[in-house]
Order: sequence, then structure tokens, then C-alpha cells
Amino acid sequence: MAVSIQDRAAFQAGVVAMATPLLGIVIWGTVTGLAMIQAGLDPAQAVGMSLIMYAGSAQLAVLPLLAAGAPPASILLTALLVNLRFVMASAVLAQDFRHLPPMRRFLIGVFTVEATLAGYLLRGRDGRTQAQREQFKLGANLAIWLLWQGATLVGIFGAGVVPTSSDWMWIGQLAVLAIGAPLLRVTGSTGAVAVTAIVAILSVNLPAGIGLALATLCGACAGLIGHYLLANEWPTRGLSREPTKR
Amino acid sequence: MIDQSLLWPLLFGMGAITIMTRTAFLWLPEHWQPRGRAGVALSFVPALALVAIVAPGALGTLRQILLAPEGFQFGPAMAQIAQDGRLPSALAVLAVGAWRRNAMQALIAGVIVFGAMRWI
Repeated sequence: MAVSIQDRAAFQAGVVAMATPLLGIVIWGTVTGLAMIQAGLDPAQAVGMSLIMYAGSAQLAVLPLLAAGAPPASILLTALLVNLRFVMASAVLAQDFRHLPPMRRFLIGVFTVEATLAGYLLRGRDGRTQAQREQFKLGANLAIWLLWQGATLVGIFGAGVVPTSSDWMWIGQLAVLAIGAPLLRVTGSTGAVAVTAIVAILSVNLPAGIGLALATLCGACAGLIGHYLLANEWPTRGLSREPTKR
Repeated sequence: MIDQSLLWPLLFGMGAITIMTRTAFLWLPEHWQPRGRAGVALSFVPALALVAIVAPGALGTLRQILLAPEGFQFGPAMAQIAQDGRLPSALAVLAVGAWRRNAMQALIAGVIVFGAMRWI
């Protein structure tokens, strides 16, 4: 595939767009690295887990189960439940990338995390050709993958040296939230956020982060209802899928 | 700790789950893609997944206040929420992000609010 100057610029724009969640990813990755060592993995196993899974929430969710020697089926089920939200993310990406050859679809999808998806939807689509959108997404994917793996290594090998102040942890979470907040300018978003937050806090004690998928699902349903109540229309199957801008 | 002979197969199994979930709809034909109501609901998902990650931290103090045995008292509760700073800073990020459509401005607003609350 020939890559034009414009495509290369789009790739670079994808990398640059990931500057906002940088702090959040670094803090989150470092914490995950620390947690893997504290759960009893040796450094080689921890590096292997980070490279093979590349899924922070799922990694953090299964660590207590690995440490406790839980049955393999429950560990795999936990990883599946925590990762279920990515099925919804893949449906969003499929609108733009379904037509690509298998390997390129794979590279777009498998390295997608919340930050790269939100960044792509916010900055990667408008005024770009299909090829440029792909390059933007690949650039964002690569930037976050490198950041994540680097931060995880810091956590794995820097245990005892890395500061773990709760204020820094919170600023990291704010950075993660900031990448999604600009996407909330659609009708029905306020109710969707409220329902997501309430379900997330109510389900915080559910086993192994199931609440994450549950809260997202409930919030999306609330957003759907709010969207059509406020827009005074209710579509049948096959109509426009683009939410109304406020 | 789990049996060492099971660890690597489990890691590869979980890696396969990551791949399956992240690429699921990318392999399905066009007529299997969500549209209509499902499509609209899915458009909320990327931002809401991030909200769900942050919400337990943002609302943790409020939850503690509501579950406290002495019950909810408006003045002290507001002071405690302000002193903690997490909920106001998360709301600032959401408000500025939705208003300005700029992630960096949203983050700066959140950090300023959080810093101010902690400092005060």
C-alpha cells in the first residue's frame, strides 16, 4: 500500500492526538505494572501478560484471581466480561474499516483502547479520506501501545521507586475522562452519563469489574431513550445511526 | 498463586479474548452491522466506557457520605465533597469537554478545579 504525504501527516496527527490521555495512560500503565508484581508474577510473566493481553482493566481484574489460584474458567470468564465493552467499540469502528483487508482490519481493531477510539471519533474522521482515517487510527494505536508498554515496564521494574500518590492517580483518571468528554455533545448524553455513573458506583462491588460493562450498557440504553425522547422521533431498523448534534 | 503450568496457557487464552472482543464486528458482513436503535446506542459507548472507569473514584466520597450511619447532612456533606475535589473536577472535565469539544482544555479545567479544591 503506497502511503502519500497526506496519509503520513494523518498518521502523525493520530500520534499527536494522543497527547491528551498521555498522562493518564502513563499512570494507569505504571499502576498495572506494579500490581502485576505485587500479585506474585515474576518480571518475565508480567511483561508477557502486558504484551499478550494489552488490556489494563482486564489485567487488573484477573490479578486477584490469579493470585488466589482461582479456577481457569472463572479467570477466562472474568477477562471476557471486562472486555465485552470492546465488542461495542468494534461495532463503532466497523462502520469505517469493515472493507479493509483482514490484516489491516486486525491492526485497527486489536490495538484499539478507549483513548484511541475516542480520539479517532473526535479528531480522526472530519475532512479525512478513508486512507487518512486508517493512518490516523494506526498512529493513535501505535502511540498508546508504546506508551502503555513503556509505562508497564516502569511499574514492573520500578516497584518501590515509583510514586503512587492518590492525587496523581486521580489526575491520571481525569486525563482518561477528558478524551471522552468532547464526544458527549449529542442529545441524550446528560442522562446517559448520569445513569452510567450511578450504575458504576452501585456495581462497584460486583466481582472483577463486571460493573464496567454493565454501567456502559445501561448508560447507552439511557442515552438511546433520552435521544429519541428529546428528538421526538423513534427510528425503525435501518434508519440513520448518527445521533443528532445538539 | 495459580499453578505455574497453567499461567502461560491462561495468558494466551486471555490474549485471544482480547483479540476476539476488539475485532468482533470488524469480521462480520455489512448486513450484520448494528444500525437504527442499536447504532445510536453504540455511538454513546466510547465516552460512557470512560465515564464508567472514572465514576467509582469520582463518586466514592458521595457514596461514603450517603452510607454513613449518621445520615446525610447537606452542609458537612458539601464541604467533604469539595475538600475531596474528585467529583467537582470530574464534572468540570465533562462540562468543559462537552462545551469546548477540546480534550486538553477539559483536562486543564479538571486539574485546576481539583488543585483549587485540594488547596482550599
